[in-house]
Formats: sequence, C-alpha cells, structure tokens
Amino acid sequence: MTLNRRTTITAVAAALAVAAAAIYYYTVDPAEGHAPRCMFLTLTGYRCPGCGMQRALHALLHGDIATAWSLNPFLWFALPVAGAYIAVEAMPWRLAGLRRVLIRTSTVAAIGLLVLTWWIARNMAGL
Amino acid sequence: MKYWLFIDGRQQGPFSYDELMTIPFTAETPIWYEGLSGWMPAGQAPATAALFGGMSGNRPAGESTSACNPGTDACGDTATSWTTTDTGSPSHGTSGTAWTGSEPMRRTDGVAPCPPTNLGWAIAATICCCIPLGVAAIFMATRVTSRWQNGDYDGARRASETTEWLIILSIVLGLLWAPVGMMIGGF
Repeated sequence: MTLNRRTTITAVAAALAVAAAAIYYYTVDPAEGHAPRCMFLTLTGYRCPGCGMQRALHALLHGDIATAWSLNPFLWFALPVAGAYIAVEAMPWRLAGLRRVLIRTSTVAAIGLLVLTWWIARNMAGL
Repeated sequence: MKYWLFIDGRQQGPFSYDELMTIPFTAETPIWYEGLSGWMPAGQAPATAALFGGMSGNRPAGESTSACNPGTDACGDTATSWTTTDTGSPSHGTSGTAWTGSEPMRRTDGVAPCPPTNLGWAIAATICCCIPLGVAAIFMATRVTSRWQNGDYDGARRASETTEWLIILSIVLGLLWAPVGMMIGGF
C-alpha cells in the first residue's frame, strides 16, 4: 500500500516540477518570449505533438480555456492518458480494472498511433 | 491490516483478516498485503502460511522467492496459472485447478509481473521535450506489453528498461535544449 522509495522520489520531483512550471507560466506569457522554443520546431520547421503547450498552460492558468484548447487540443487527451498510466504503474495494487485495459498491447498501440496521427495531421492542417 | 486475493482472474479485496477467513482460497491463491514485496502464494505468505499446514516448507528453497509484484494479477489473461476455484477450502487445497496433491504449488512460478510500460512518461517526454525520441519510447512500450502477453517476460522487462532509458535521455536532451531554446524564444 505504500509507494516504494523510487516512486516517492519521482512523485515528489514531478510535483515540484509541475508546481514550478505553474508559477512560471502563470507569471510569463510564452507568446511574448521568455520561454524555450520547441527543439523540433526550431530544427525542422515542423511542429511537435506538444507545440503550443506553454502558451496553452499560460492561458489555462488565467482561466482562458478556449484559447488553451485552440493552441493544442490534443493535450486534453494526452495528459490525462499519461497521468493514468503513471498512476496505475506507480500503484499497481490500485485501479486493477483500469490497469488491465491500459496494459493491453492494442491500447498502447492505439495511443501511439493517435500521437503519430495528431503529429502528422497538425502539420498538414496547420493546427 | 487489509488483504487482497487474486481469484477468478481478478484482484479481490480489501478484506480484513476475519473476512479473509470466510473466503475459500488455496495455498496457490496469490495474496498480497502491506509488508509483502509482491504477490505470493497464500501458502508462502507469512500471514497465511500456517493455514496450509507448513506446505511451504516442502518447496525447494530456490523457488520460495517466486513472488510477483502487486498488479501481476491485473496484467491480463495469461495469469491463468494462478487459478483456484470457489469450492476450494484453505485447509485442504485439493480443489484448486492448478493443484496436484503430489506436487504442492508446482505452478506458482507461472506468471511474471507485467513490467511498467512507462507509457505515461513516454507521452509526457514526447510532448514536453519535443523530440522523436519520445515516440521511440512509445513504440518500445508496445513491445513491453506484446512480449509480456506472449510470455516473453524477460524480453518485456528489457523493453521496459529501454523505455525508461529513452525517457531519461529525452528529459536530459530537453533540459539541455532549454537554455538554447530560451535564447531563440527570447527572454
């Protein structure tokens, strides 16, 4: 029932990182600079699946959900899914039903395909 | 203390000790409670071993550590070697489908735990670090589950470790890029 040491350290580090990011991106508007430009976009000229996240986070922290959505709608799928995997694998004794679904190869492959599809589609459609 | 059992293909619980005593399970039924490092056959777990009349003492020493992690149960359909029936009685253990009287608990090593896919971190790395390495990690995550479902437990574990390293590498590259990206993005 208790988290192992490594999971605890990871959880604390992740929580601190999220808190720091929340404070930073609340204060700063990435649309005006003050934030790292995407490596993939800089090197290739194409957007990565996460492009727009910094601006979206800024908008979200200021209650502007519409803007946050328009900057990167995929995040609203990807981040909860990522959270579900992290939770289920950090606490394997909980959420057994969810875990059973998530660790099917078909589920993992479908999520991977969705990431790739979004990546290609957003660059073709200019999203 | 709360106890969990793996019966009929799924994890059941939590049970109090008194509730546990009302549930038919065998020496082979995987059990987990706080303090165990992973699922283990009830015949070997300290809290319940006594119920089975010291049968755990019959096991070769080398096999006695064949516990699997909590969550093994939830790994999918291949957990069939951890079987029992609801007609079994803890004190006899003769009705479990995996049970043979002459070979106590011979199949307890049947299923290894599904190692972490690390898919959550792989997605986070793909999105936050903006590099295709994260996609490689996502691909390797599919290898973890497919190998595990095919019974290649060692291969699944190796794939799991590979996803981990790809994710760590993604994060390191992302952090190294951050100051460069800041300059390009403009302070």
